[in-house]
Amino acid sequence: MIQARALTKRYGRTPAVEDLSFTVRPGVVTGFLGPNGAGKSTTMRMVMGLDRPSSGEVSVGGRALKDHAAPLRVVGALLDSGAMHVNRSASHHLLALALTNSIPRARVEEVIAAVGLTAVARHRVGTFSLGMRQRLGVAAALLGDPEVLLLDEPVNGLDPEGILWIRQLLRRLAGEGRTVFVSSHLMSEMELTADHLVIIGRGRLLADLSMTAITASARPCVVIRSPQAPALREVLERAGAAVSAPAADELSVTGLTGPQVAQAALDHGLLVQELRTATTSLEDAYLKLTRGDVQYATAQDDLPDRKAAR
Amino acid sequence: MNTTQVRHSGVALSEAVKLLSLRSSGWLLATTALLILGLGAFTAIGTTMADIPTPEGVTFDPVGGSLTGISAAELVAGALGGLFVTGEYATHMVRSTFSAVPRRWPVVAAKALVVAVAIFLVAAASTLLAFAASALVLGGHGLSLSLGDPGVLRALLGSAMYLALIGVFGVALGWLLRSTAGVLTALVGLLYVLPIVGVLLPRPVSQHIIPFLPNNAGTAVMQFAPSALLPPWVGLALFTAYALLTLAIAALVILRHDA
Repeated sequence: MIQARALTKRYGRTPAVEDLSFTVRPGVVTGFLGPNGAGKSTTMRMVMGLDRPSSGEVSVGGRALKDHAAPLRVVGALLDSGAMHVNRSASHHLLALALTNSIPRARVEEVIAAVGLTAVARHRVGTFSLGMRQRLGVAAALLGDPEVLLLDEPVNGLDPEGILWIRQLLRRLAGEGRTVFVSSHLMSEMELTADHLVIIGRGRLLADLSMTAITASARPCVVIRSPQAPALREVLERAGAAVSAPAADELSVTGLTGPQVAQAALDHGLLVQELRTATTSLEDAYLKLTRGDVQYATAQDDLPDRKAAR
Repeated sequence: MNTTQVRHSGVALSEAVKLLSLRSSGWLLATTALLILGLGAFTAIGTTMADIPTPEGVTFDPVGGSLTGISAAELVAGALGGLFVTGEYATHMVRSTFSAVPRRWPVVAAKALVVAVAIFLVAAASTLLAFAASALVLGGHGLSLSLGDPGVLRALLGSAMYLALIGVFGVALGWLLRSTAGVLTALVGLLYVLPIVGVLLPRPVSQHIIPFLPNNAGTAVMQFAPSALLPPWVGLALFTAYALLTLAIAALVILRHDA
């Protein structure tokens, strides 16, 4: 369990994280989602006791990390992939960490095997690819067999096989009753792994809700193409639908089913050239939620409304 | 498994693994040994080649120049300590370290201890070996050097302790400055510039300051004839106090810093 209460971090006057409160529960994968620069890494460093909050507090397993007798048994973290010395071998890196918490030496071999790095265990970390470093970082996080796992962008730099491996690992760890907190800036990635989402933008909490709640909020809509779009729009709106026009000959309709839309068009003698139903993707829901909070937006005033799924 | 916890012995062992698993540590320790041995032997041979008879009443260096290399080795010893810390910042390893030991100060203590022990062992072996070489070379020219002569063993082992403490200084400066270039600059200032500044001070003031400057206090352990410096062990004790004080300040500072 991770509990953050009114967590705030300012660098000078610039706030990186502001008044952030959330709880990460055991047994599920909690995604920590937000655009680049939203404050995800800063928050994770504060959870690990690496950065001091300007105000507020965070506890892991009921207390501050430094008040635990064996911190590695409580929480394992994969921070940015670089938290390891490039001139040290993978096994020496893990051995040095294991010794601090009196973790048996045999556990080092175990986690190296678990992440598939046995063949390169004696090689310098500097010779590793980004994906191999991520695997070593995961090994370090698993070292103390911890109750809480915290992973900052774990799929970064991984090949497709590695990404699949991470997804399965996260699900398995949560299935074992552990608390799994994983950050990403990609909704599509979270869609596949997370049960719960904490979404932030510009350091502030935007949403804290279960994946099922998000899926339920993604309402189905009907997309139609017609040369008489304006007339059709009037008809549909009179029937109580909410209609938007992504293009001159295209309408996006919510509030009516596909057959109802087709019937309405037929009743008024209007031509429909294409009709399909679609659901708002989670990606769109996420984009909408964070649109005002993206720190480095592209130079576009407003993205076109993309209710229809691609 | 429920015996799993942070222990000081474990943290010290961890830091020992870290130091010895870096190739740079080996190179710096070997350089320290080579400077002590090489410059010591060079001085001894130089003395015999000059072939100047020692005049009556002039005291001859009882260690036969075997400590000449210390003034060069000290910068390497300091760099070893500094690099041991700044290397962790440069690679962000420090985040892994502090995640495992969030109280942090045990890491500060362990790093200093491990660096000091490593340097002391290498330096003590080197000064003893350099002395043996000098004794051999000078013995062939009728100058007898003995480990039993007054102050000899004290100077040989004391200079190794001095280097070990410079390593501790390096570690402390590493935590405080977090940059290799910064540590090296500070070490040069501490070891080479500060003593010169002391000499440049006006006479009556300088006499009261010079013996207490860190470098002068530390090197007092290598003196044989009475001098303006502090007594050997008093000087080394003061230097130890300087090193530990700097380390304590470093520990306090990094407890407040973001890693």
